[in-house]
Order: sequence, then structure tokens, then C-alpha cells
Amino acid sequence: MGVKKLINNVRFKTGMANCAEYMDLIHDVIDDQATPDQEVYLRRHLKMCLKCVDHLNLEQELKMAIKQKIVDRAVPSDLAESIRTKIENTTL
Amino acid sequence: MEEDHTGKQEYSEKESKQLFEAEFMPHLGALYNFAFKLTYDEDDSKDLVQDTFMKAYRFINSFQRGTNAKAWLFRILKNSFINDYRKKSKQPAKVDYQEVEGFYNSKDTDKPATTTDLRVDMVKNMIGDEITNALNSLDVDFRTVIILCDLEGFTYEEMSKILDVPIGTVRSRIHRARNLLKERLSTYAAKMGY
Ligand SMILES: [Zn+2]
Repeated sequence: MGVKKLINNVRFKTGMANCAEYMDLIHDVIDDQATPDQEVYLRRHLKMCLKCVDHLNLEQELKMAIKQKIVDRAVPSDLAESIRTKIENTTL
Repeated sequence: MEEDHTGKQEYSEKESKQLFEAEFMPHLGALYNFAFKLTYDEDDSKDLVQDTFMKAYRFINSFQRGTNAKAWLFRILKNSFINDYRKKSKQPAKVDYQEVEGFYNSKDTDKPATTTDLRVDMVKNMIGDEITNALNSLDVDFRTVIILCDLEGFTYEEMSKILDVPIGTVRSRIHRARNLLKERLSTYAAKMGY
């Protein structure tokens, strides 16, 4: 086990891990931007840290709420036609 | 998204129009909604979207077939909004991101205590209008990243190209935007006596 890993393990077990460093990762994970390794690294911390679990859950709910509850407006019915007409009349 | 500004090609008039119809028009709805969330005005949104499509057509030779047309169009629309429409409207001045990012990146772990008093259940119970209003109350740059990321599902890399900022800035802007959104929702919830 490398020194860095050892230190990290000690920090996890003693609750001294710096949660700030997981904030980026939490967003990366919910936005599907983390590598599998990074995800494992975060999950490992989540086993020990309720604060980050709460944070992850809340961010996830917020993202889902935005996705599901903000509804699209209907496109004005004449917009597509007016764009097509303009394009038809444009020479490059 | 692979955008190549150097690799220009010459599409024929017919090819251009086919490309326009096949690659650009399918994104009309998403662009209109993006425009509306930036301007809150139906006529401004229509103008903005028409301008975007006209610009896209005029510069179609810089568009590479098979690349991300949606991101390309979003970038044009966002630039048009910044350059033309924002000037006309009374949008507040740009926030100072250095200050904002410094705030976020500070080593202080227990920053805004917003998450502790805003529970998951409350977010779940929020109705669409409440979330829409909270989103609308954000400064346009913060609103934009939420739209691009959460509503449109662009990757950080795509957003970095659409917004012309480094990925690190995209990241910190998303975090900041979400924290602000939570603050607004939390204030709202308190007012409603949740
Ligand atoms: Zn933690």
C-alpha cells in the first residue's frame, strides 16, 4: 500500500478526510462526467461520510427536479416556416 | 464535439439546404426554449432563434457534417444573446467570477449552510413553477449553465466550447449556480411555511 493510500485510509477511518475535495467529484458523478475509478474513489468516501451522502442525494434530487419539473414551451407555430422561407430566399 | 474552424469545405447550395434541414432544424425546439429562458419574451426569443439559424446557414461551410450541430447552434445563440440582446435589455452586469470562484474554491468545508436546512423531500415536493421561478431569478450566466447541463445534458467539454470558458470554470460555475438555486428554493420554502 502506497503512503498516499495509507494516509487516505487513516483519514477516512478517523473522519478527517477533507470533504471539500469530494464536492467536485459529487457534481462530476451526478453529471456523468466522472471516470469509473473516480466514482469508486467517491463511493469509498461515502461509506464513511454521511455529510457527503446527504450532499450527493440533495444534488441528485435537485438535478432530477429540474429535469422533470421544468416543462418545455411550445414553439410558436409560424417559427419553423418563417425560418425556412428566409433560408429559401438566401443565396450563399 | 469536434469543432474544426480550419477545415472549411464548400457545400453546394443544395447540400447546404439539405444539411440545414437535416442537422439544424431538429434543434428548433431546444433553441427556442433556451432563448426563452434567456429573454423571457416570446418575440425576442423568435428573433434570437431566427438570427441563430440565419447565422448558422451563412457560416454553414464552417460546420463539419457529423459533428455536434446542437452544441454549435447553442454557441451561436448564446453569443448572439450576449452581443445583441443583452445590451438592449436591463440585465444586470456580469458578476465577478474571480470573486465567486475564490469563494467556492476556498478550503472552508462548511460553506453555505443551505444544504442542511433544505431537505431532499422539499426539493421533491417543489412544483415546476417554483423551480422555474428560482431558476429565472439567477443571473443569466448561472442560469445558462443549469440549462445546458441539467436540461440539455451537454457534457462539461461541450459547455466549455459553447460558453468559451475553460472546463474548470464550467465546473465551478455549475456548483455555484446549484448552490444559489438551493438558496433561492430554501428561501421560497421558508416563505411558504414548508
Ligand atoms: Zn465527506
